[in-house]
Amino acid sequence: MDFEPATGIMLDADGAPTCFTWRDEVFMAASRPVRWYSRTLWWQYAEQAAVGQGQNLVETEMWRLWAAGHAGRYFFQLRHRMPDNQWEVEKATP
Amino acid sequence: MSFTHLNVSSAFSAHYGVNRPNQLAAAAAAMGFPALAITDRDGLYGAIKHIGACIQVGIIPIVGVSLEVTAEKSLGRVVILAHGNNRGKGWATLCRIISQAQEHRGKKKEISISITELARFFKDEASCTILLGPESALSELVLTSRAGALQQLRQWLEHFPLPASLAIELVNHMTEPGAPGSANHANSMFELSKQAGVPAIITNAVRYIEPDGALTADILDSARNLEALGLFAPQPNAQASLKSWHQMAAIALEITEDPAKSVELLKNTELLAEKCFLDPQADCGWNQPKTPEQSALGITGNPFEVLWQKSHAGISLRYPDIKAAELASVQHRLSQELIAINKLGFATYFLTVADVAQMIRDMRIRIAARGSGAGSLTNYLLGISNVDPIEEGLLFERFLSTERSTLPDIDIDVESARRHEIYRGIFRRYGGNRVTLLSMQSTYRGRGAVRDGGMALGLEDDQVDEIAKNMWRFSARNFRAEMAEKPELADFSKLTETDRKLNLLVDITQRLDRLPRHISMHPCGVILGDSQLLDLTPTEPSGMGLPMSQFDKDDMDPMGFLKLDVLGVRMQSAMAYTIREIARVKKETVDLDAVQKDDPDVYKMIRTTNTLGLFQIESPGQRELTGKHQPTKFNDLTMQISLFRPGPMKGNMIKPYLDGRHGFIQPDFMHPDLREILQETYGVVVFHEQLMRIMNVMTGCTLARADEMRRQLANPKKANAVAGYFKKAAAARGYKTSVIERVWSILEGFGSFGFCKAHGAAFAVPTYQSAWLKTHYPTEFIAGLLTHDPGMYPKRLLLAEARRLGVELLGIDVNKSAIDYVVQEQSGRLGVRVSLGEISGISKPEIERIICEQPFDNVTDFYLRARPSRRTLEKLALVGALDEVAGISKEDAAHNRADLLVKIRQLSSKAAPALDKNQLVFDLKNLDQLPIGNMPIANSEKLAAELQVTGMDISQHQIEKFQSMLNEMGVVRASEIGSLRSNTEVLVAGVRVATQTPPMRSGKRVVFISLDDGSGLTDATFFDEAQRRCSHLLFQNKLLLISGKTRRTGAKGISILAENAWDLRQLWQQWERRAS
Repeated sequence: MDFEPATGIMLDADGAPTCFTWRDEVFMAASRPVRWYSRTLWWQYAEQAAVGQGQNLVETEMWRLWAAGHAGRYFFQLRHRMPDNQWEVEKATP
Repeated sequence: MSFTHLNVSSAFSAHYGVNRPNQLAAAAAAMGFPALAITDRDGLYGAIKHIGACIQVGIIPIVGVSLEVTAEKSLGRVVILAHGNNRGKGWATLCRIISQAQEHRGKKKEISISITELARFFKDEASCTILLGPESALSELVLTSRAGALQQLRQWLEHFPLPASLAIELVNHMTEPGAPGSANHANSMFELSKQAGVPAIITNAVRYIEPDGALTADILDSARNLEALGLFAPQPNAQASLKSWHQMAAIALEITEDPAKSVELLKNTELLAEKCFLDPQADCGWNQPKTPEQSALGITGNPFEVLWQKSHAGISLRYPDIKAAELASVQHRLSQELIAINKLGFATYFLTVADVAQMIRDMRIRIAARGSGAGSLTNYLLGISNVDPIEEGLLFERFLSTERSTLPDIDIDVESARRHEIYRGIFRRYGGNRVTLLSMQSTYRGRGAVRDGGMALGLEDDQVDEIAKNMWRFSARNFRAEMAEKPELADFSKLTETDRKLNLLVDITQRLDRLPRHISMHPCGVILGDSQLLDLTPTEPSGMGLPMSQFDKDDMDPMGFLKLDVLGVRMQSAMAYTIREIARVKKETVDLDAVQKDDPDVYKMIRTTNTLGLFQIESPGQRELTGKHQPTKFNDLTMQISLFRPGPMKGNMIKPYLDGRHGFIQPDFMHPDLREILQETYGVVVFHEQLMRIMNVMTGCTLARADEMRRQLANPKKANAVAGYFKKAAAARGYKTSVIERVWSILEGFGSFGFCKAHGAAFAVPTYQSAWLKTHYPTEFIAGLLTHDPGMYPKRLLLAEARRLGVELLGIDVNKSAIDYVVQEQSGRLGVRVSLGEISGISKPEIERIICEQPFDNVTDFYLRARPSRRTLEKLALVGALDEVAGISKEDAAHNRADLLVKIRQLSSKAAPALDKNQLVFDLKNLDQLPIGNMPIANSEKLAAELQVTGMDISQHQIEKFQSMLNEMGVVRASEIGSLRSNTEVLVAGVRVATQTPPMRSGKRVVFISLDDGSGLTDATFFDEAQRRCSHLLFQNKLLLISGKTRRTGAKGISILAENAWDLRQLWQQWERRAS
């Protein structure tokens, strides 16, 4: 699937998502979210790489969690895009 | 509870780590860590800097190494940490392990140690701990087979049974769950450690301080893999940063999933860290000078007494006819020096250097002192230096001060061609356990950074080369800022606006700037220690085979190592060669060091400004200064060498000095007491020695204290204290406030501008000697220069100079040329025969065969016995090296070079040489029957062939070709420029032989170009506006036409203030077209 935006995101003290809206539906975390960092191939698209921009060019924060909404429970993989602070649903499997 | 990072790669893990040790230590201290480890890959390259930085910021240093271990196959990389506070046992073991691992690199290119070899270092005692971490084979295995991993861990335990030998290192870089570097992966390692009963610790396998550094790490990975980004597996993310205690505690919890266990993990880590706390003094001998044992120097008894005797014995040698009064002053000065040396305990050091100097002289190799060491009478009497410090007014205190306790540098210049012989001699004399070579770290500069950055981005080589070519004289760190300023980067700058990758390249280049790139042999450093040396420094094989320390020159003082600077100087080789040629050809013996330094003919020659080939004064700037300065005595040479230095130039000292010298202004000595000190420089304070003596006279302080204050002047804070002292003490001695203020206003800014006179005087000796040889033995001297190529200019310029001097140049001839340039007689005159080595692509065996088999009867004979490759044969024929042997050298010969070439090309065009030797001989026999009637080759074509094959114009100057056009345009020759008035509009043309962009006081860039047109050199200066017109030509084109105005700068000094420049070849093409 293509990345779809996740909106209305709420985070806990560690920055873990607890609640978000996807496809007009609100989902609540139903397991301990697991954070990991995937890498990005910045040299394929970056316009510049000045000091200070490195981290966001090299890696992306990812979260895995079960979350439940009206439509049921899904296993989500969320992507936290920086520096514009956008959240996307990368995978959602029932 | 605290935490310590035990796995940290600094930038000295070349092409791996991102931050320098001082940055890492400062960051660690700022984050509240009590200690920090450095564990660079394959060596202790950054360890001394790390220890120094830790001491400075007040944290405890830990040192280890990352090394590959092998069994039947590779066991991957492990980190080995030295235990501390055990009187250097851990440090010594670590050094020896590394040296052992490095020893193998010759054969396999890979640096590694076998597990059995490594185990030997742990036999009786574990003075190091091995961390089996994320780069070990174990860590890989645990992902696929827990049983296999357990088996491998047991293998480790069998080799390292003693407690504290091994630990499992857990790293969680928060990669995708289940992948290498994930929490799950670390957890598997944790489980494995419990199962096998090996303690586990936690690190972050740090490569950079901030996550931002991960991008730089990507580039470094590319440089290490020699592949563009995307063509190899990159690092998983940007998590290998220097994380805080808080972050590490969270990671520990994520791995163990149990608070109690995570606390235990952190505690174990801290226990190991404490075991590894180093005591720099007790463990590494920090700051404690180390010199060879007396037995190694062949001394018995008190070294100071030996030094006393040896130096006093030198008096009668150096001052054979001295009068009693002078003798007393010599003895007085020597006593003062010896007292200072004894106070510092450096007697052994001086004896060591004297011993090495004697060894070099016994090898019959030329030797000269350089630097402040020439200020010491002791050095002069011991034969280390050849400059009489009393005669030249040099001060011992500038060289050695009782106020400091580090070993002074005594630098020695020797013949470059025999430098390695000396190194081997030193190893033999003192033993391999006391000697290693010094290493140096080369760092990324503009061009290298652009090249590696370009490769990482997958840019075309040609494109990157083009950019690199235009990177002149600026720090890559300011690449983007420079792009806006430098005209020759304007095109590139424009491109970056549209080309994304080029724009990235700018940022990447800036990131790479100054990072260590690779280690290599220092050009002149040798470390001499006692028999414990190899317990204190790890070594690795150098390019020349002898072991070299992994420490660089900055590490010498903290480690207390005695470093000898034995610098190979090509001019010394050239002069030694000249003397040998004089002895061979003229049967005259020249003792250059005994030559009086007051020969008027020598100064007359220098004053013509034809100083090409002279040590230190041949550069365009020095030539210009020579024209203005017009030296007449030895001290003038010292003066001239000293003035043309960045400090005195920035301090604007040259003009007032020259004005005073030429009587344009009345020297101002500020006070009668200073007259004697400032007389030689016409009132300008140029030398450190002068400043010291001013302080001494006006405040009554000792010269040693004066030198201390001189050093403090560079530091604004400390300079204030010096100002206070100077003004108060001078006032107390009765100097008027106005005088004090005036003197101080000059001394104040002096800190970074002055120059050490001893240094200038030491350099002036070979300057005079080379000038003496050029004056009296020009032919032999040119042969020496061409053989050892000591200068800054291309060799072909030396040929032009030879022609100008009337020295006959004899072309390459297979019967007469040798491996070097030799002086030979031809038709009753002496000339210089061009060497065989100038044929491009000729191999050493080919040259050796030619020389062994000389002379040859004919071309066939040559081909059969010298066995040149066909390509070499053709090149030899092209430049006329076969003319003589083929019997076609005479004007009226039946054949010409074209005939010979046709024949040789017929041969070369055939397939590989026939195996049937008889057939080959038959073919070659025909060589004697050359074809006939080929058009003789024009001189211009012969010249083109010479340039192509040897890079030099031997038969005539290459500008000759353009002469008809230049005459028509009214171009002025270099030899005629001197007679023009100032401000005359001129055109000059020639081969660009030097381009310089020296630092300017204004900060604006000025480009100096030197052109050679066969009659001499013309120097042209390009300022801003002129650069804008033609800067693309200035750095790339060889043949230039320059327009501008003459600018008279002194009696014999004249240069061109350039307005524009053109490509001579292009003009020629247009001119020819128009002419036809």
